[in-house]
Amino acid sequence: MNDEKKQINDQIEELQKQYLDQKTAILDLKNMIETKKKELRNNLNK
Amino acid sequence: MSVNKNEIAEKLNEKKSNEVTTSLQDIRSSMERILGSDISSGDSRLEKINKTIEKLNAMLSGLTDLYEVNEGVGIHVQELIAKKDTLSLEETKEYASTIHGSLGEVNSQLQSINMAYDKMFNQDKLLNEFNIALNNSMNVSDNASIDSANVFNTLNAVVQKLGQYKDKISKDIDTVKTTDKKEVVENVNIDEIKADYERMKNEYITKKNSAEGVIANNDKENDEEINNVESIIKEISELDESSDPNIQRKKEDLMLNAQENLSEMNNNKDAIESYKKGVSDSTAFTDLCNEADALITRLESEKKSSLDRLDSNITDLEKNNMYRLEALYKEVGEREGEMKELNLSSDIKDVNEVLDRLDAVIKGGNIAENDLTKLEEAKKYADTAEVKTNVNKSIKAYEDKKLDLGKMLEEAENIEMINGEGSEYRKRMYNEMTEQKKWIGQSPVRMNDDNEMFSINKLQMESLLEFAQEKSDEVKKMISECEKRIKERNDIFGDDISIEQAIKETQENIKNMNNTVGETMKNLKKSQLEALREVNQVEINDILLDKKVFPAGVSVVSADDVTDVIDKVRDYEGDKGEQSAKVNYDAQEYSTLGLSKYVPEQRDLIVLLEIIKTPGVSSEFDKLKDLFNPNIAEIPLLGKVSKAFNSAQRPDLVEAMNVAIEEKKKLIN
Repeated sequence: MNDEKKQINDQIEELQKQYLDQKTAILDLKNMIETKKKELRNNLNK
Repeated sequence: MSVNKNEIAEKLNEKKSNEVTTSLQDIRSSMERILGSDISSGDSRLEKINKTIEKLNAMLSGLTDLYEVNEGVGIHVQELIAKKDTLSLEETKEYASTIHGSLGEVNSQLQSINMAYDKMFNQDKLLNEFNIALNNSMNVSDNASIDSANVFNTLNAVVQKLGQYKDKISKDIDTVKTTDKKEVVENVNIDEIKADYERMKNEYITKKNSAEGVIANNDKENDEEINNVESIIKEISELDESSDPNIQRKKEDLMLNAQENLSEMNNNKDAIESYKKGVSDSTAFTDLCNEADALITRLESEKKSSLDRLDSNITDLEKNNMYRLEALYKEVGEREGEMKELNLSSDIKDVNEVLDRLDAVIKGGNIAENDLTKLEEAKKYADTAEVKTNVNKSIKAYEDKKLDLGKMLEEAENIEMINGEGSEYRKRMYNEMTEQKKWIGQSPVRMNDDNEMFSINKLQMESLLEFAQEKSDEVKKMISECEKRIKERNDIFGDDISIEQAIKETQENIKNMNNTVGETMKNLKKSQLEALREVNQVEINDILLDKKVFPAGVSVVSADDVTDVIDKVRDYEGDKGEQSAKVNYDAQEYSTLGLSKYVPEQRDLIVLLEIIKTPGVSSEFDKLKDLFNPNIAEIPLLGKVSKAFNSAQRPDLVEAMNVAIEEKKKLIN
C-alpha cells in the first residue's frame, strides 16, 4: 500500500514537472516566433 | 472533507472536453488552414513574407491557446496535489491518468507547432533529425534481415548436420560390410547413433519454433520502419523550398538517401519473407529423416550379417588352439597353487610339533600329562612311520605336479600356431596365443623360488625325521618302563589298572589335595609352619618316598597316602597340626617327587606363598629357582610370582624373581 502511494506521489510530481516544462517550452517558442516576426518585418521595411 | 466521486469524474470530463480536447482541435484546424497555404516559388518577395508572417501569427495564436489549455491542466495538477490525501487511491489514480492524457495532448500539439516552425525556419535541424531517423530505420531493417538470416542458417545447420550424419551412417555400413576386424564391427554402436539422431530431430523442432517467432517479429519491425521512412519522405517532400542553397541541397540528398533506404528495406523485406518460407518448409529435413531411418535399419542388418561372416572365418584349428591354450592357462595356475601347498612346509611344522612333544616327555621324565589325549599323541608321534609316509606322499605329489607342468609347457610349444598371415582377425588371435604361450613359458621361472624352498624343506625334513626317530625310540622305552611299573603297582595293590587309569587316579588325587591345601593355606600361621617343617620333615619325607610308586615315570599318590601323612602330623598338634602337615607335605611332595610338573601353576604359587610367609626366606630362593624348570614354568607365571612378592612387600624377592625371569628367557631363547 505504501509503495503504491509512493508511486502515485512520484507520478503526481512528474505531472507537475511536465506541466511546467511544457509551459516553458510554449513560452520559449512564442518568443522565438515573435523574434522571427520582427526580423521578417525588418526585412520587409528594408 | 467528503468528496463526491461522481462529481470529480464529471468535472474531469467537462474539463477534458471543454478545456483541452475542443481547444486543441480548434488550434489544430486553424493552424492547418493557415499553414497549409503554400508559399509558392512564383510569389513575390512581399507576398512570401506576408504569407510567412501570417503563418507565424497562426502559430502564435495556437501557442497562446495552447498555453491557456496547459495552464488549465496545471490547475488540475494543483488540485490533485491539494486533494491527494483526501481522495481514495483509486480516485487519485483516475485523476492523475486524466491529467496525464491532457498533458500528452498539449505536448503533441506543441510538437506539431514546433515542427511547423522548424519546417519554415529550422530545416537544417529538421533534416538532421530526419537523417538520424532514417539511419535508425535502416539499421533496424538490416538487423531484422541479418537476424532472420542467422536463425534460418542455424536451423539449416541442423539439417546439414543430419545430412552429414546420414553420410556417416552410410560410411559405417560400408565399413561393417568390408572390414575383417570383428572389433571394428562391434564398435559400431547403433544405440548411440539412434540417440544422436533423436537429439538432432528434437533440436530441429525446437529451433524451427524459435526461428518462426523471431522472423515474424523481424518482419513486423521491418514493416514499421518502412512506414516510418515513407512518412519521412513525405515530410521532406512537403518542406518549402529553402532560400539557403546548402539546405536545399541537403534536403535533396536526404530525399535521395531516404528513397535508397526504402528500396533496401523492401529488399530486406523480400529476404525476410524468403527466410520465413525456408523455415516453414520442412521438406528437406523430413526427407533426410526418412533416409536416415532407412540407413539405420540397414546398418543394424549389415552389422549382424558381418558379425556372422567374421565368426565363420575362424577355422576349427584356430578355435581348438585357442581353447586349449586357455585351458592350459587355467591348469598352470592350478598346478602352481597345488605345488605351493605341497612344498612340505606344513609337514615340517607337524614333525616339529612331534619333536616338541617328544622332547617335553623326555625332559620332563614323565609321559603322564594332565591330559590323557596328550599321552595318546605322544604314543602316536613316537612312531614316525606315519609322518614319514605323509611326507613321502607330499614329495611325490610335488614331483608329479612338476612333471605335469612340464608336459603342459611342451604341449603349448607343440601347438601349431597360425603363421600370422591372412586376415587382421587371425593376426590378432595369433598374437593373443603367442602371449599366452609366453605366459606359460614363464611359469617355471616363477616356480624356481618354490622349487628351491622345496629342496631346502626336503633336506630339513629328512634330518628332522631322523632326529624324531631317536626321540621316538627313547619315548617308547619310557612307555615300556611305565607299563612295567604299572604292572608292579597292580601286583602290590592287587588290582589291574591300566596306565590311563593310573594317570587319572593321580590327577584326581592331586586335584583334591591342592583344593584342600589351598583352603588350609588361608588359615595357617607362620609359627605353625616353621614348627611343622622342622618336626615332620624327615618323617614325611620317608612316608612320601615309601609311597612313591613310579619314581621315574607315572607318579600315583592315592588319598590314603595323604591321610597317612596327616595322621602322623596330627599326633603333634591336633587338628591344626593336620592342616599344617598337609601344607608341609604338599610343599615337600612337590619339590621331591616332581608332582609339580603336572600342575605347575598351582604348585609354584603355593610353594612361593609358603616361603613368603617364612622368615629368613632368602636362603630358600635358590631352591625356588630350581623349581622353575624351563620346560614347564612359563614367564607369565613367573610374572605372577613376582607380583605376589611385591604384594608381600618383599622387594628383595621381587628383584630375585626378575633375575629368574631373565634367566628363564635366556633359557627359552
